[in-house]
Amino acid sequence: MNRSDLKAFHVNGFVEGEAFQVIGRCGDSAIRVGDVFSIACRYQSRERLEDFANPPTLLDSNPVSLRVQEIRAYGRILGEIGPGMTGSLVLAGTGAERIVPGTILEMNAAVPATA
Amino acid sequence: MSIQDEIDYIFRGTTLGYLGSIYPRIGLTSTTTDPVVATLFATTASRHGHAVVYIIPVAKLAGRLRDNRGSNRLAELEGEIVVDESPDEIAAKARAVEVGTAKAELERLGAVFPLNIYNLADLNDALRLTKRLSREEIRAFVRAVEGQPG
Repeated sequence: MNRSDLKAFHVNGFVEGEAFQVIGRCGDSAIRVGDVFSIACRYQSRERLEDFANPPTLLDSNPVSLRVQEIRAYGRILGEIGPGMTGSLVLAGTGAERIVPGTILEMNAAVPATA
Repeated sequence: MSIQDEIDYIFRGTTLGYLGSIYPRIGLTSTTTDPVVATLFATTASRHGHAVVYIIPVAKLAGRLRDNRGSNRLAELEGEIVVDESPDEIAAKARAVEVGTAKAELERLGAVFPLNIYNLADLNDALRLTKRLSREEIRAFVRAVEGQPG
């Protein structure tokens, strides 16, 4: 079941190694191996709970092309990561240098055609 | 010391009837030691359906709990306990509490919640900024919601 037509992954940190691997949380829609992130957004982080009264402030939004090559969660290699799950993604492509902790990687998911 | 010696309940914030997209296939379900965390997840999920906080006594899951808190920073932040059961199996063993009820009872215990959670970055910041409950506070929360109509 897809909860949303926007796939997103919040980057919390990195795994050191040869491959570019990010740790974070999947958004409302499952992310699968082969998916390609096309946008990297960064929002101003909240410093107090009172700050949540206002919509988040977008700091920047940049095009990237980062393909999901591998997904790891719960000590396993998976074909997909589901909504709300935490795990790590191995990514390959262009724009990795734009990714910092706090970045939200986004892509548009396929929306089924309707009659 | 086993998990059962340390905690009495685990919690899961989700929408009623949501089976997860991947959990059924890998046979694992993510839960938390803290009802504040579960309430934040339920609040986030509420735009997709009827949001609830499941309360599950750990005594019903003996031998099926994996302490995942030390695996990474996010799991530590969430107090993540992974259960070797699917979301619907867990739901069958749980008491479901409306997210609004859970939030109100937790606020009575001194928890403070963000007014809105707009995106994934907000959820992360909310998890970072909210207070975690003590074992006694968690017991008080469960007693309070058990006194409410189910």
